[in-house]
Amino acid sequence: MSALTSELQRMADDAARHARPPAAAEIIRQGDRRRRRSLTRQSLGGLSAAGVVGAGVALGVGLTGSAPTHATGTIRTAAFTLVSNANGTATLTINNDVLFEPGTLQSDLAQDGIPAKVTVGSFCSSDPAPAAASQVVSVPKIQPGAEPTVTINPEAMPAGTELSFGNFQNANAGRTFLVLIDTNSYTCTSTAPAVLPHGSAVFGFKSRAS
Amino acid sequence: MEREEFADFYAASFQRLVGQLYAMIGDQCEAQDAVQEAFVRAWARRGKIDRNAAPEAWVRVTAWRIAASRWRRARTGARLGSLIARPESTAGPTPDRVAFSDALRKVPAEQRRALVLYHLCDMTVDQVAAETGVRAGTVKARLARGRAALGPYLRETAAPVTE
Repeated sequence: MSALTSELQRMADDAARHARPPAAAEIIRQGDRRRRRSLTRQSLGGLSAAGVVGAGVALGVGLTGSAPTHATGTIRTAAFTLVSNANGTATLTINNDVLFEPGTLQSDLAQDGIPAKVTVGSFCSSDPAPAAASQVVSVPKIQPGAEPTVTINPEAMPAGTELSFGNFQNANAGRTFLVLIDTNSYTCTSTAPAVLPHGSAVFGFKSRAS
Repeated sequence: MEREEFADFYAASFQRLVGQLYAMIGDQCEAQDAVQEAFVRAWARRGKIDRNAAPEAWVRVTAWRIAASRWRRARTGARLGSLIARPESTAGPTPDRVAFSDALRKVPAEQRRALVLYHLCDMTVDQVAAETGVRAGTVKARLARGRAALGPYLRETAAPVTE
């Protein structure tokens, strides 16, 4: 090793030792937000061409100057609609009239800063469910004739948790179960849960159109 | 790149990249901030990382550009090292190390970057050229000038540049 190499190595080693890396989860969280803002800008740019509706951008901050603002936007596929709300939550509507798209939903949720495990024909849950489950998922009252909807608050998700979506199909209906799980402790079953875990939600029993 | 894979990549390379960037720019805080921001961008644009066979190099290049952009905005002239205070990590060095650090700060930024990539990151001239976006001849010239500037502060003569 040359003297120059060893001097540079010494300097770099000193700096590396003094580096204080933030938690990977924090880097990922910031990256997810950056990605969501970027995607929102892109979707707004192609609003009419892409057929995206209901999008907008939160501008400015509250009078106190401390309230965070969040980019808003809508991802709409045939199988689901995912709306990013100005308060940082996301509203998900699943259309049971069409076949489920697990990969697309999981990817779009990730882009919205929501880590999720989306499966068809199986359902994963933790026992007990993480304590924050009821703060993460809320189910507004369903209006007659409307698609079932849940609101997800990613900021309430503790580190080491993700949402589990389990979709079950039969000839006439589709159901999707949703619950918060501990990524270090969960089990999966190939049957729909008979008893819903604490903090879980279920997207309807609506018959699929023939 | 999946979340867990990215977290492993981050944990394995963050401190090494801070060390390399510090050797390039000479500022511990700036190095950490730039590397941190580069990792945020890496995750936000992970499609690019997936298509890139060398994600660590992608983060290093991005961190360098972030640091260089800040430096240019600060309008501090042609040398990165001139804007910085001596880092905490050099407390109590021997006189020859102080002299070397001071000499390194006076080396123009692109020469310093080439020296770090070649000597510290163990890259070839062609690899340095690819990462820095210049011809191999330019890299050789930068290495030669940088080494000439630092030579008097080293105890021995560095090995000649090889391809």
